Amino acid sequence: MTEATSYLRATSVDEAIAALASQAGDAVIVAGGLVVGSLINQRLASPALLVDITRIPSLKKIEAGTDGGLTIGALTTHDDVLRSDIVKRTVPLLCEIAEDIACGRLRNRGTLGGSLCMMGQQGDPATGLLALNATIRIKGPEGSRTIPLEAFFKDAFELDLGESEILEEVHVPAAPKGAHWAFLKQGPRNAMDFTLVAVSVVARLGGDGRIDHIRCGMNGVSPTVVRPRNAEAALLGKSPGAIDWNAVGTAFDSDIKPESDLVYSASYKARLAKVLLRRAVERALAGGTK
Amino acid sequence: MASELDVGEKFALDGLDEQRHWQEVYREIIGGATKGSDVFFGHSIPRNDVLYKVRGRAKYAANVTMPGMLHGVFLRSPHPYAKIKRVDVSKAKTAPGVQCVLTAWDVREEGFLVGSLFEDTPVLAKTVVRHVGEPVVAVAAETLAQAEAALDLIEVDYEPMKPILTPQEAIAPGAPQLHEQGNIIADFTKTRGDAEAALKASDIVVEGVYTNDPIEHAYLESPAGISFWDGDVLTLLVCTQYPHFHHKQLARVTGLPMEKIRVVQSVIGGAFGGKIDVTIECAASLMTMKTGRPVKMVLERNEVFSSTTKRHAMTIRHRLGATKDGRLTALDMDVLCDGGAYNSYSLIVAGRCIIHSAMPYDIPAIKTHMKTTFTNHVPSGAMRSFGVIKLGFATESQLNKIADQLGMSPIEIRRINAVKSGTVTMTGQVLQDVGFIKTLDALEPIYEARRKELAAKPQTGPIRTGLGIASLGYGIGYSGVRNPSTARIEVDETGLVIANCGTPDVGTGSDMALAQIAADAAGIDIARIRVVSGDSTKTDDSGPTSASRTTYFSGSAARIAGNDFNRQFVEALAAKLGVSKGVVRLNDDQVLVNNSPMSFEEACKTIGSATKNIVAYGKFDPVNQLDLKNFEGDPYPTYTYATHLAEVEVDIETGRIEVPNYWAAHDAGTLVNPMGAVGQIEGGVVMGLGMALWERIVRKDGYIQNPGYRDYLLPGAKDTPTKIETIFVDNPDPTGPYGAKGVAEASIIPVPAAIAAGLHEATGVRPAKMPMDAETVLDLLDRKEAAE
Repeated sequence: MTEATSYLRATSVDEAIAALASQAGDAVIVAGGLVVGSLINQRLASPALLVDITRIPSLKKIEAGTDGGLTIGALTTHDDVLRSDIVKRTVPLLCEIAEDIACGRLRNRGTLGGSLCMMGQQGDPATGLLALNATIRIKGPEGSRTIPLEAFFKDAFELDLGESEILEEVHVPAAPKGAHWAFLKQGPRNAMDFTLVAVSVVARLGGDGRIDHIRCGMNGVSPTVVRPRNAEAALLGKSPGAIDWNAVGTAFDSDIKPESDLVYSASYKARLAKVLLRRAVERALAGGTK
Repeated sequence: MASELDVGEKFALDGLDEQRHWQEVYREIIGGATKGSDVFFGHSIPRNDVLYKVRGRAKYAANVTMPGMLHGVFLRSPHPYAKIKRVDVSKAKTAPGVQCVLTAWDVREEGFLVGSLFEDTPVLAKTVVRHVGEPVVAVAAETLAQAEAALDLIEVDYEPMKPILTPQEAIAPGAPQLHEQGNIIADFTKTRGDAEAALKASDIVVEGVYTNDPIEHAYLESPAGISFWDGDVLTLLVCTQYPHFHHKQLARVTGLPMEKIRVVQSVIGGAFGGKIDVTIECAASLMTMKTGRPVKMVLERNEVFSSTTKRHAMTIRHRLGATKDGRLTALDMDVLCDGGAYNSYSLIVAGRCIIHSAMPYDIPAIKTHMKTTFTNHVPSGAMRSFGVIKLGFATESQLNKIADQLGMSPIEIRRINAVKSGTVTMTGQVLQDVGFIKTLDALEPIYEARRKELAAKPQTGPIRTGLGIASLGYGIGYSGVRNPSTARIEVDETGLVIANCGTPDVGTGSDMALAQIAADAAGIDIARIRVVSGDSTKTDDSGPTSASRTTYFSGSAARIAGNDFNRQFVEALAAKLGVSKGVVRLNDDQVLVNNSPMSFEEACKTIGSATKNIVAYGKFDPVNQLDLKNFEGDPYPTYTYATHLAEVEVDIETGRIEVPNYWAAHDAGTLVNPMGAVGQIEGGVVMGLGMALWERIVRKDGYIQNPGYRDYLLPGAKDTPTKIETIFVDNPDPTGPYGAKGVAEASIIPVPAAIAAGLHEATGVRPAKMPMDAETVLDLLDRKEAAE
């Protein structure tokens, strides 16, 4: 980091919230520090105050809930998720996603909350959490509130998160009984990189052999991580052998707004996303990882 | 510091004290590596420098600090082409911490222009800027932050002009002329026979247009250096491939006499041709002269992208003819090449490309033309293979096309057209000791076996697999000019042997190879030898470390010097003992006088102060002359050859390519250090993979859009083949040191063509542009489907 900035090591969520409130939007939370550190080094950000939340124990937890679901603290690192027996048992999809995030060093630093708040359209865990219908708890000066993760992402780097609010934890409900899931992603290359497109699918076949539950989360194809609701609707009620993928693709086109980057065009990303969506759905319906 | 530099102790941050312990450790490592053998040549001896590199203690220029040191930075042009109307540095001069603000008006007239081949590049721009990123002002301050802050206070008025962005624009009638010499850097034509008539008479002619994007050298270490006064000697510690070049440039730029300048190479983090031109050297040194203080300059990565040389973008129009039995009849190649804003090494690239037009094939009729122009892009320059990789992509792809159309094996068509010992090349050179066919023979059984294995696998699902072959022949050393290298070996009374060798180690481990050769030739233990290379005051100017020339040229010089050392040592000891020199021997680190043994240290002690009279010298200067007007003559003393086999997997729904397996068969003569040679091949394969599949400088209106590794995609560990198998064929070159020849650049050359061939076998599409990224491949697959 090039410029000295005020720094506060908060010991409680309330202290962190008070610090954020005192700076009227000119303070930034540091969890793993991967995005914030990089922005400051590139001189793309110069916050007046860094609020270090890494020593707040209540934010670092993985707990099984009574509903068969799971609560994960915002400070939980990708490596924690990857190594957690509880996660492996209840929602292995999240382990599968964590396993392929960046590299070991970054998985040790990067946190789940940081990924949800700072990665824009490119976070991988958000795809799985959307597909799993996760909710998040946010705390601010006015108290706590819980919202669906889907509502958290408003637009490119625009979140339903006030200047003095902190994402505390993520709640993942139990997946529908009998559901299977799949995760696929492609980067610009295999080596550590931002994801080009990633897709998570949670799907279930009903007793009649037709899809009676499907939820997907995708990144890389819209300003935020998205749930392709039209594509889901086109898949619901179909039997695996009778899916009209052209129709799903058309529906999917209205779900996404890909943008060209320096290497890949919007049309390539849309096409890649459709291929990965089809493969992930087929994999989930074929039994997937469970 | 000076004393450490004098004995070549340049590796570790804490100098001699730190190195003493680790050199003891290293001695044990060497003992293990040679397994008790008395010969060092041919053994995989680990490199000396790794002890410091792996511990994070290597003395890279960026890590060096000195008392009173200032930090230097450049203000760079924000325009691709503009007149400079005014430069006002008054505010910057009084900014906090600023000790020196250097503009073009501070540079003496005689030293205003610098450059590798032609002095055409201003140390700092004065009247015009010709590319984005060209340095305009340099600032030195107490801290880096102060220096950077001062840049914001400098006012420069530019009058932007319409830039020339392509070679086509540069040669269009009425185009503005970027330099006094016009817009043409090189315009070479070479003919052999009547290519047009031979093409007409051919049974089969294939045509293609091959293009590539410019790419970055992507060395790990940014250009960096520190200049300081060592007494009254202006000294520059810098990561470079060619200290003597900077020494001469600095004499012109500073006006100091040659003996008051010293350029020492710091430990270097990769070069690949990208650390052979001027970057920070002149500005840092001039600011040291102005302030009397050490000045360190380290380029930031976005500056590396925006201001240092790139690999040339070329458009290659290619026609290749053959008889129906696969014998090549004629080649017509026309290349248009973007040289960027200044000359750099463009002329050398063009010359080498012309000479290598047909390599490694014997083609009776050839017409080859190459034109390189200036543009307002960052200069193009030297990079691993000097442009030949792009020719390889074109010619090898064309040859594979002919083989496919004739239903011939890609190995067989190469074998019947291969150059052999005795083949007369396009320039009239009679080739000797050619091992090309041996590389084909080595790969053929692997190729055939793998073909059968893959054919037995059902190709279902979206993944298609194919095998691709490509070859190369590459000249060692400068193209068509004498480029001698030298070595000087000295010894002191304690038995420390210093080998001052001509060309510096740029991270390849060449110092190790030179020590191996010198030790064997001198008859002493390698652990005694300290190689001093890359010091402009300790070695003769033996040219840069480039063109794969260090092992062959400097290695030969080290061998001659080693033999000379042995002779002089024996004579000195005999004289001291008053015996005939016929009864004194130095062999396998053992001194024998009248058959009674004496340790080397004892012998040195006996010779005493007369050891300083032992100055062994070796010079290797093969006669290589080429008439650069008609390209007639013997451009290189020897050539290296190779054939590569790539196994390519393509996802036909996403266009994504994987290269799971790769085989490389090389004729590199006899290997000095097999471990080092394998490292060179593997590194070249991965570097070639990057150019083939991902790497691309994205330019728009003269600006580089992706000046950093976020958007400039290099292959990482997960992208490299699971297996790279390197095969060295047995083909000693009697003209090289103990049979060795160069190996450094060659391994990158056939990689893109081999991958393209594998892609074709897998899917039927033929890429003609690099990089072959997933979207490019998918477009090709779409077009093929549409055509069917």
